[in-house]
Amino acid sequence: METINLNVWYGKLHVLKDVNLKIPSGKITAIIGPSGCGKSTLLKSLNRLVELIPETRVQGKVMLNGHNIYDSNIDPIEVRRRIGMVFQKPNPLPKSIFENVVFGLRIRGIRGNELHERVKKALEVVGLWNDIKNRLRDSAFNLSVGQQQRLCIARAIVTEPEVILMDEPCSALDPISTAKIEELITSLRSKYTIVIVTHNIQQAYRISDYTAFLYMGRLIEFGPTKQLFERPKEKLTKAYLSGTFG
Amino acid sequence: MRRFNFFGNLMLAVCGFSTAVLLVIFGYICYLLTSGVNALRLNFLFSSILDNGIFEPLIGTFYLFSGATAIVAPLGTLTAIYMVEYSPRSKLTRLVDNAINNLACVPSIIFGMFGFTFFCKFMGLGISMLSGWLTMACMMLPIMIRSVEEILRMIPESVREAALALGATKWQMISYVILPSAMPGILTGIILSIARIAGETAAVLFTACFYTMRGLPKTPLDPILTLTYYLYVMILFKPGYLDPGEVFGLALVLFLLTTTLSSIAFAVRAYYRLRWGRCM
Repeated sequence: METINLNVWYGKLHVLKDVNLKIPSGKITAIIGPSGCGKSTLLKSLNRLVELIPETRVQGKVMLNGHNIYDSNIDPIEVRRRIGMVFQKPNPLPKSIFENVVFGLRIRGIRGNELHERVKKALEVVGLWNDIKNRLRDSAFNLSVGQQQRLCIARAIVTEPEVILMDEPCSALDPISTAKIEELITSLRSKYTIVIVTHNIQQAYRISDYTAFLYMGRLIEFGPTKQLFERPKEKLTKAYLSGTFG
Repeated sequence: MRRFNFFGNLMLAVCGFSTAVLLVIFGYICYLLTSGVNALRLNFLFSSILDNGIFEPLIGTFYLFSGATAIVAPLGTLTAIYMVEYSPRSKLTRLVDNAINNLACVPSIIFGMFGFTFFCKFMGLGISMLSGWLTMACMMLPIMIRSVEEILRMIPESVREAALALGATKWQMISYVILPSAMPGILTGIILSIARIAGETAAVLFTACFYTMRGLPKTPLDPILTLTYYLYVMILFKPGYLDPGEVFGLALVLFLLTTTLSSIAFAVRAYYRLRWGRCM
């Protein structure tokens, strides 16, 4: 996945400026930067969710498998079906645990026995199956917040997307749940391309293979995480990592 | 100091008096209705009006609110969905919003007049159950729209975002996620509509009811009797046709029907608030 000269405006506000980012497949890429630098906007423009915000304008390209997802002949619905997303606050649908996981399958018209198998598989991957296999018909709201977030990840992977976008998936969680989610994310690495926005620099260091540093809508630096953290090329990156601002 | 005390005592007396008035009125209504308790026998409820029963008005009331609700429930729900999910916030939607509010305050007799001139005369439906349904549907539309709209606005944005991010189309989002969540609001709207329609007199007076009719309506183009209209006729035009006890019995049936329905509506709403309050 790759962005080419990506620009995004909210009304008159220029939020992303000429972002060129090559996201490596099968790796975890972290996007870091201070609040309001455009991290979430960048993430949301990767699955065209950004278009739901009123008065948004997008310019430039986002390439997925050689196609620009902003091409006029490409359906944003189709794009979102190929790219899963996990949000900052767990946002289960007001339905049962089972119905939450199968939602993505149902809207693709998948029915029958296959559903149960796929729910089981997805919940096993996120490590929830043993805890909740007898409560699949319970409301998803009865789960703890950490479990809800894992449910949301299960919901995103059950449809086997190519890319998973995560928008600060741990910021609403306690340290123990955070550790579990981080472990889960690293275990998903080989199978999916993961892009994760995080506020937490240590988290980016712990779990990501590549890191992009964004500042005031511009991509300042991008590289392998270790290299970016230990030998940043840009002054701004260094200052941000050392906590001079942020 | 004395003055202040005097004023305080005066206010206490005035407030106490107001409350007492309320209690007296409520008590007297209950007392009046209790005189109808003796009439509440099965053969009173289920005999024809020719045999001093209230079968036709009772069934007529059910017919009236069933038909009108069948019209207003989908219409109101779809309008509310359009208002909340589709229409952009603009001058036009604010105008529609105001129109809905104002429509809710229009006296029912004016709806009766409108129904009479438009449905009965202009559309040629005559004094009929169908005219009654349509008139009632117009009257209940604002209430239905409001109760669905209120619940739709309670559903957090994150839920919509979740569905869309999974690749749902807008309509899939609405039909799989929004509508089921809005169900209690839709039910509340329906029950409140039913209660209002069951208790409505003025709007059916010109549009749906005919005292001279006999038997139940056979087609929607036949006129009907309702409990309210029958009570009105019994008090004004046929005093003495029913025993006073039976007239109060009729009133009691009407009272119980409407209060039960609105209590159910409140219970549904309370349950919903509780459920959503917990999960948000």
